[in-house]
Amino acid sequence: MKFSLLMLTTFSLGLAVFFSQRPNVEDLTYEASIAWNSGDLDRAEQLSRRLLARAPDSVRGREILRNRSMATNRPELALAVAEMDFPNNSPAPDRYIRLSGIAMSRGLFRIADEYLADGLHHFPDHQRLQQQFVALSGLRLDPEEMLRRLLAWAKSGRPAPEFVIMYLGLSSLDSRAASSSEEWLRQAVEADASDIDSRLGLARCLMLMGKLEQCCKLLDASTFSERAAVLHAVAFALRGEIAAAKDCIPTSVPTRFQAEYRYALGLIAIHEERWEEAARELGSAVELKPLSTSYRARYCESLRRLKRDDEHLREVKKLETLIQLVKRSHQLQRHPDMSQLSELRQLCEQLGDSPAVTIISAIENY
Amino acid sequence: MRRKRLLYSICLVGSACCGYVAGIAYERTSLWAADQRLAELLQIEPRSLTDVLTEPAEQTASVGLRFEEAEAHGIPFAYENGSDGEFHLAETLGGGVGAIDLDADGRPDLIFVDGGHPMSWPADQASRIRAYRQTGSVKFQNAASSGLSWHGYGHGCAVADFDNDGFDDVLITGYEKSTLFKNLGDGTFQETDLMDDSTLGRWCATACWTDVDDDGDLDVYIACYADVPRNQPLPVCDVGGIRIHCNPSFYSPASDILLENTGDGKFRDRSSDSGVAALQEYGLGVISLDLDQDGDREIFVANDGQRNLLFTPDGEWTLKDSALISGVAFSGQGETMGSMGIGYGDMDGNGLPDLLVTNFSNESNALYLNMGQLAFVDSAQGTAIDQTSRPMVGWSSIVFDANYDTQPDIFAANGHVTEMPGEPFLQMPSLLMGSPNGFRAVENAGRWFQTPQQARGACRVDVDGDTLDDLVVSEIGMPAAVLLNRTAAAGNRFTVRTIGTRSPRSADAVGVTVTIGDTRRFHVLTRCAGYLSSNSGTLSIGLGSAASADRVSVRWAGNRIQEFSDVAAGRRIVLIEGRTDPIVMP
Repeated sequence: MKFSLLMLTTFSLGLAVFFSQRPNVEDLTYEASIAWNSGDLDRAEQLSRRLLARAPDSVRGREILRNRSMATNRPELALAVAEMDFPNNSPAPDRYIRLSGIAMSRGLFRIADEYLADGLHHFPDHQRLQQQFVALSGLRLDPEEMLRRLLAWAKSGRPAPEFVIMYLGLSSLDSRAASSSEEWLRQAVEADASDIDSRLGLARCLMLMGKLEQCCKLLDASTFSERAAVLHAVAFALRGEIAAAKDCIPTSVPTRFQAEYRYALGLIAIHEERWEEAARELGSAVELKPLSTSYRARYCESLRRLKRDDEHLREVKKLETLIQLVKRSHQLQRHPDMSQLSELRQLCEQLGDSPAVTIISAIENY
Repeated sequence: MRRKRLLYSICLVGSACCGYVAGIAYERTSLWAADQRLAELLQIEPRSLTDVLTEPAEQTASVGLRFEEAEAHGIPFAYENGSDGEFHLAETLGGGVGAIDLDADGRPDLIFVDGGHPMSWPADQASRIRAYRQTGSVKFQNAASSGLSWHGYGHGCAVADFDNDGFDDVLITGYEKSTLFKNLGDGTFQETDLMDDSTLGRWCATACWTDVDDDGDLDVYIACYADVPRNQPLPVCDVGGIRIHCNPSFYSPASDILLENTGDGKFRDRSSDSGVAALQEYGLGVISLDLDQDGDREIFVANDGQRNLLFTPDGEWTLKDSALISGVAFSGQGETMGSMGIGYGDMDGNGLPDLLVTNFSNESNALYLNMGQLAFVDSAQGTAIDQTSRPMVGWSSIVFDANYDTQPDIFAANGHVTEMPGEPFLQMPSLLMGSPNGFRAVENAGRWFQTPQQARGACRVDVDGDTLDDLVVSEIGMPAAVLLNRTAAAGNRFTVRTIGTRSPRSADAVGVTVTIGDTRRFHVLTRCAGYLSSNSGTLSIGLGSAASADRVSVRWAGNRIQEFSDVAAGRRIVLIEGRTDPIVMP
């Protein structure tokens, strides 16, 4: 018994000697800095981790790990360091904004989306969170999701007019505008292969830019999803590979990308010169997405083939109205003048985009 | 006992050491590792896209289509645009080239239009027309004595025999000044009143001679660009800290001009009566063709950043814009494009002329296939036309059968308007070979085609008289290129020149349908080249491996049709309206 106590005492003594001899926080900070400055980055990281374990508030330790995150492309490191600024996971809006900002800057759109959604769960009225949440769907070239988010925003507050204009531009996106998103979306898909929404955004971007082969390759390499299958069918149909388009198009109407689904069916019908069916499907696509220039142009083509002259003329005029809307919204993006919103609302009304009208009215009447 | 004590001591020292080591172990394991826990939670999967998203290799064809740049040809011309940091929009359009026979010796001569400085041209008295007479095979001499002297900032050159006297006249278009030169028939030209200065003082680009009212003489449509006052400070735009030319939307568009040739050497302004003046767009390219084969000419105008126009006759001197309803106003994706030049030809072999419109970078060139009854479908998306044209700013486009296999091929002149970040200023020209399965980019077409250029206006003309159509290209700040067609395995062919009698004497969208066995191919003969330039009045038509064309059908204005049979390969024929047999030239 005595001997056991003695053993315990000497063990504790050994521990005490170690703890008395180990470098203190200041020494660790110094050593970590020396290691970092001399280029021994692994050691600097190791020392910083030791430092933060002992002194979570160490500014130098955080700084070294933040820099290390940039150099080694480990975004989780930067996010974890940033999390330390908000102890006990306190749900402050700034936390979500900061963390989503870091995720966005690393191309991690899925992670940013999760942070923002979580933030809005706690702070549904927070303007900045709403803005970033809506803008993110825009970056992923997903007007359907952007509209859903804008409508949700309109329920809890006044959506910022510039985001409505962004939505109008996104809905009628053309190849020039799409080209500016390609690099962003490539980075996002490379940063996180499991980000299916960014992958679909990139596929959409490539399709708009006429890079159909690359679009098909990207979708080939995608995890199967109904939405990917619909886009794949559109890409195949645009390439004139009708058998492949028919193979991959879902057999029933999907829950999302319904307009794309109708568009794919319309394109297939055009290739097979089934003009009645083409007009029906493309007409449905236009109803679902009234601001798509491609859908309207193809719809006009099918009506022209059917020689439905009155209807064709009406739709052609609407296409011209849509192009006018596109130009106005582009101008307003460059030179914001929110007094022009009523003009945009009228154009949206003429084109039958009632959700867009609802949002603009909500802004005007707020 | 002593041994036992020693053992105890060792155990105690060991225990102390264990305590020390445990401390080290604790220190090593108690590291900050929140990031690893987060990584497990987030499940981020970085993965390169290189294998998936590499740019696909262009569909290329190495088929012997070959053009050699003529050397020592005696044309020391390079279009001067006066670019000196003021970023005037006029600097971007460049100049055109016209094929003309100045001295009626049967050899094609060339006229180039020059720029100068857009802000100082009234004071600048240097002539901005360069005429070159071909004195030997592909040897040119300056033809300054022709009287073709013009002071201004020039762009376009429209060649045609407007007064039906048998000699080609020249209309020069430019920035705030356009001038008509009448060919006196003795190798000299005389400046002629076209209209008053207030009309022609606009900034105009391409002109196209065409008989709008079917009275047998050529009227003229002039596509005008923007209203940019010469004496006012210009806006300069900025992209990423780089100063660039502002796009035309910073200025008001200029309305186009339509002039009626009254037959007495005078012209009447029909711009307002016809409805042309009411539509103000940024016009650059223009072509007149009988698109629906009803005997009347339609006028198609390519506009920069705005919808294109398609004027169809709707009563005497009234034109109706049918571009929207016909499907040529926008691209197939319903986008307004930065449209510049127009090529034309029967691309799909259905006997109707189709339109190829060159566009700005990041936009595909449009291929408007003619479905009949003025219905068009842009079919460029996903094709080699789309793939090759998107990185380019396209200008002149010429559709011609370069290898005479009966399938039309496409040439496009490319070059950026400004130093746009991320986009090359000098750009490769495009040459696409047609086949029944579509178009493919041609590789190894010659050194010029492998060198980035600043190309603008271009025309088709058989410079060296070998019955293979050559290309002449005007470039900004670079020597003009005379590209001789040296395609080795070219198919059989014959050449056609037409002379109208009831129709205008100069070829004005004359349709030539060639039948070989069961196949028919439609060709169009017009001097208008679509962008700032004028083609030769003679066209080489390919027969492939056939020794002759079974039938050649000519459709004149007013749908007057004449047919000729058994036209043998190698012939050079002149078809005169109303005359039953062709004249075979030596």
